[in-house]
Amino acid sequence: MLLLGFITHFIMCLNPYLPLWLSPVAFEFVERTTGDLPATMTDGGSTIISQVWAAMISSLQMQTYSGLLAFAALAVFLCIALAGLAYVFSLAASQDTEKRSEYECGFAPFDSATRHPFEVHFYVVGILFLIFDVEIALLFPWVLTVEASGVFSYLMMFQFVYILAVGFHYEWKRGALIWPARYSPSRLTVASAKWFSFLLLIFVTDLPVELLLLAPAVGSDVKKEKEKDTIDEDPADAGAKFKRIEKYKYTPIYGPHPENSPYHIFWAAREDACRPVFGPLAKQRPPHLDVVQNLEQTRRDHDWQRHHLLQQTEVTVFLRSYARRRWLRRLWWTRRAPYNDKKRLMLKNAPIWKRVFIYLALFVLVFLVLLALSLVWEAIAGDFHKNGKRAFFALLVKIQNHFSTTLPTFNQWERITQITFSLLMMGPWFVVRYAITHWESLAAVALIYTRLITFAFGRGSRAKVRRLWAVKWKRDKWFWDWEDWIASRGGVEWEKIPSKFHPDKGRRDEQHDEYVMYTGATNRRTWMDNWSSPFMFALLSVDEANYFLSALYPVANYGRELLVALLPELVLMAMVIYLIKVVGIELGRGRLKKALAIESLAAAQEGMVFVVWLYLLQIHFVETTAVLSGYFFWTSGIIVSKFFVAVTSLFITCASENFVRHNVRHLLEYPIMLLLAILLLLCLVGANNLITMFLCIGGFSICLYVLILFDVYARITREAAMKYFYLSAMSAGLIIFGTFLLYSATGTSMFSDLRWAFLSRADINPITSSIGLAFIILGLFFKLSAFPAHLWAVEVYEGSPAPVMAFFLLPIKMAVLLVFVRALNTAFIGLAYLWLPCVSIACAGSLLWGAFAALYERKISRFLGYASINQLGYLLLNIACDTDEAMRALYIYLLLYVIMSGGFLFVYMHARRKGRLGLLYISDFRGFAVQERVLSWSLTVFLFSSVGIPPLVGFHAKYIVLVAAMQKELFLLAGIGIAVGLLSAYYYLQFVTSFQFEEQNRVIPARCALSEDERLTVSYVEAALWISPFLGPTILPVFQVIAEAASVCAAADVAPAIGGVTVSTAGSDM
Amino acid sequence: MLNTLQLQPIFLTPKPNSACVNLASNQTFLDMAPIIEQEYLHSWLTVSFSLFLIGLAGMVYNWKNFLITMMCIEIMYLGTITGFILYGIAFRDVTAAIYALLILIFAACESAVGLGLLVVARTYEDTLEMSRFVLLGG
Repeated sequence: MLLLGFITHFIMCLNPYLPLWLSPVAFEFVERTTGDLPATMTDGGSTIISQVWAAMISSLQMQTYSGLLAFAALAVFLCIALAGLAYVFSLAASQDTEKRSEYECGFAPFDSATRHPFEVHFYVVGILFLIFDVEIALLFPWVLTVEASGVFSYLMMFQFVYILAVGFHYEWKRGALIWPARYSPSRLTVASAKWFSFLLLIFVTDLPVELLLLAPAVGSDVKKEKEKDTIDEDPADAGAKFKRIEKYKYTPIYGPHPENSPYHIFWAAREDACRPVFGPLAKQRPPHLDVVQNLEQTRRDHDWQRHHLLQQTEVTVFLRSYARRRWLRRLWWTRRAPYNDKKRLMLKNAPIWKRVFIYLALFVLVFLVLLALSLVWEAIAGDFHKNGKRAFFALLVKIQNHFSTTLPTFNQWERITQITFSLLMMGPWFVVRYAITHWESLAAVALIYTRLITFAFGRGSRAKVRRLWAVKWKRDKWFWDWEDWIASRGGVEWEKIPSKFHPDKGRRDEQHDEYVMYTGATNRRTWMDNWSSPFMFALLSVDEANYFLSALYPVANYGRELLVALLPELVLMAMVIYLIKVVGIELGRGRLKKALAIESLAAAQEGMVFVVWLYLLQIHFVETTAVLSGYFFWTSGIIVSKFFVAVTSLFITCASENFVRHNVRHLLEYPIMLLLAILLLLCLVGANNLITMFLCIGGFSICLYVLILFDVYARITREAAMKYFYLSAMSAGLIIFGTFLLYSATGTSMFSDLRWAFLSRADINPITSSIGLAFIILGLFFKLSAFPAHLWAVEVYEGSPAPVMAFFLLPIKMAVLLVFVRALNTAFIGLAYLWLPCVSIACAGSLLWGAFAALYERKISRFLGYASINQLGYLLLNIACDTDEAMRALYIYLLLYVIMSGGFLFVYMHARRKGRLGLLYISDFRGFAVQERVLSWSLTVFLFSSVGIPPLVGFHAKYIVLVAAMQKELFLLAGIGIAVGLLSAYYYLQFVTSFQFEEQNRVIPARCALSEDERLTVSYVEAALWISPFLGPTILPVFQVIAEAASVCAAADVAPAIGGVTVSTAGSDM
Repeated sequence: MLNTLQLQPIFLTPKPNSACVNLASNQTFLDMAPIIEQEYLHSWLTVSFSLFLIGLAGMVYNWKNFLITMMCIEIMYLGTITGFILYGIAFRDVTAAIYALLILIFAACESAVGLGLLVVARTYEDTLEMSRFVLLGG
């Protein structure tokens, strides 16, 4: 206390102006502690010093500020003490020779070429520490409020820690925690520390759930009553519990036939399982079709004979008995079972017409089965279906009410049953319900199911590749060699040695890696082979979703929202975590990294198909509400927008297959980051709060820093990532500070509340709010790459890999533009006089800059960038018009832009995939028309459409935009639009002439041969693209019709905001 | 009482369904929080605005050094967080504190990825000077 007094007095004497600066605090402080007002500062502040001093002394017992002061004193003391200690110790250290060396940290520089003073691991561990340390900041408020916020927050925190644990596990398995041997104290210590921390995390994550699940079930009232009925016992009797156990101890459970007891069943299974599955003792050994299978089989037999006497524990016996059942094996290990090969070959090695025939037949079959199911369902439960939706929701509400009322005593089985019911029954229910009324959606669903079924039966012909590969293996004989060699020396008991040190482990992995890299297929089966089958995938992601839902289920109002409104996002989130988990587990098992990356990308594709399907279903029963306390909005327009964003993202996911497959590195995180970015984009489309908007935008930017950098060995990607980081962080800062300024002016950040605030012309600080709006608009212009903030875009497009560039060009632009329009037209409609000029300037600038820069551009990626900036100008023209027609035109133009640019990108990436690796400049397309005659025509169609040649949809898009501008009498902007359209005709047609009429002048390096899988994909893509020039003029208007239909839906929730000043109540009651 | 809450936020709708429902109804933590008057609130706005502008200007002036740029980004977020917390106390709105936490977490994630980027650049390029990254463009 003395020290404290000394320090405060010292500080106050040191600075005579300090009391003045502290005056508000000091006034309040004195008033709080002494009870009356302090004396005025007549004598230059000395009175107040003494008063504050006295008040401090008196308040040191238990007053509010005492803790704070103690902390301050402690901090000052610590600083001084540490500085002193450092000084003292540095006296001794300065005598050290290492200290005087070039880098005074005591290490020799690493990597002599770069001369780094530190190992990179220091940085990595530092970053990891930063992440896991800061997340704790979210735990502190929970700890403080755990009594008040109850079970819900407990479960939320469980989810949070669970995700952290998954991330930690991933980091660990990825090798981020491996410390260089020369610095580690001992291998054993590090390993045990890692295990300990992991077990601790598991314990922490599991404990709440265990308690919550078990405790209420044990203490349930119903059970107690039942027990009271059956057993009469004295509650005061201390040994009653023991007696109750005694009573049941000798009760015969299994009746007169003890051989049916699980004990006997278990031993019978064990006996059965002790017979060898493979090997000479097996009764029937299936004939093998290919050599590798034989070799592997023989090897496995050998292993098994050595193993089976040593490793007959109960667990393995039980698992073996499980594995012996053929139907189970067929379900889980289809690819591993040798006798299944014949069946698979029938599909695999069939010619294309047979495959197509089988596909179509399957489609018809599935369609008929679904139809029959729906008819049967209608016949059985027709009454239920007349108001089925209401009944279903009523059921849900009933379930939720049940949970919310019986929260303290709900038991495990009830909960599991309800959740399983709601999740598993919902999918089929939706299918059947909407299949009846919408036969076309039935067809779509049948198509998806057919796709899923064909996928489940395997992709590509692996048997053929495997047979080819087997010849090489037989020639090498590497694994026979070492076995013979060891056998000649008496043999080694490998099973006693951990598999980590198995001598052929690394070698086999290398072989497989090489094999996978050149063939694109896996020979050794991984878990992912089975897990990525869509049924398993859907089941498992539902399992993950269970975790989230079970956390949120008890809260009544969240149940329906999460189940219905946010289900696709939830499934996507579950998929991300599921992929992280699977990849982590598989890495721990030392599986093939390349195969893992490819398979997880395939899983991501299937998952995106599932998500798109969920949006399709959601379109049918969407309501206009705000969900999750109004932080997200749920209308038909938003669902339609989300559907299109999801479809575009699905395209990106499929397009990045080539990138992942042929990259030198194992891009394990690529699918995960891509899915995460897509999830955030989809959330962004539905955002109803500036904070939500900021978090989604910032989140997908963070994902994109990583996505750009995946090709880390290329210098331009590093540069692009750094530049994007710089500008993206700046724009995110602008958006969030603008949000804060608006919050400080109005006290809210909800769209609906802001709208009401600005429309009611309340007493809002005009300067703060207008600066805030300007910051937000500028930040969003950065993300859109609109005129004043567009220069980063071309450079980043040039530096990033092709699929990431497509991700920038299509879904991101779409989602950000949609939320931009919605924010302007709902939240800031009262400030239209401020943002209309901004948008107009951005529109004119983007139109002109994009067109003039694209004229002289020779690189394809930069050309695409400038062309997209130009197209964005047309989109902004609609916003500048601010009429209902313009809003509809905006949606139509957006969708058609996505289709046209998507087609262009499709051809571009397809051409790269087919072997034109160094396709960088526009002149590299020369001779394309000769080599790929039809493909070049489809490219021509897409480019003509982008120009706006009349029969194609591009003309329609530009026409309605310009007409809307004319109607609003924006003649200058419309004139710029028309002039720029002519210019764009020049540069697009220049491109067309370059690949149609000029000859190839440069040999473009070819890529390695395509795998079987890829050849199949390429043939599908080519078929689709070949059709397009012939059907182009007829198919593209179909897109136009779709776009118009969607725009009516999507503009509906924006349009009422434009005309009048009616206050929307949606969301404000939240 | 000298210090009464003179500033009423224009929009402060109660949120019965939000996660912090019990906390908001309890009001214990908010009762403990100091009361900020309107005139000092404007000075706090100046503080956070100047912090933000310092960060922004630092980003622009030190664009050549990636590390200093990242520090400036953190200063920008710091200004925002400070503002949210103080205005949350003034408006008696707990959600502002949650916003501040979310922004803090976001800033941490972004700086973690940025540090990773920095390590990559330092390892492969042996420099952090942005002016030496001139491959892109033209």
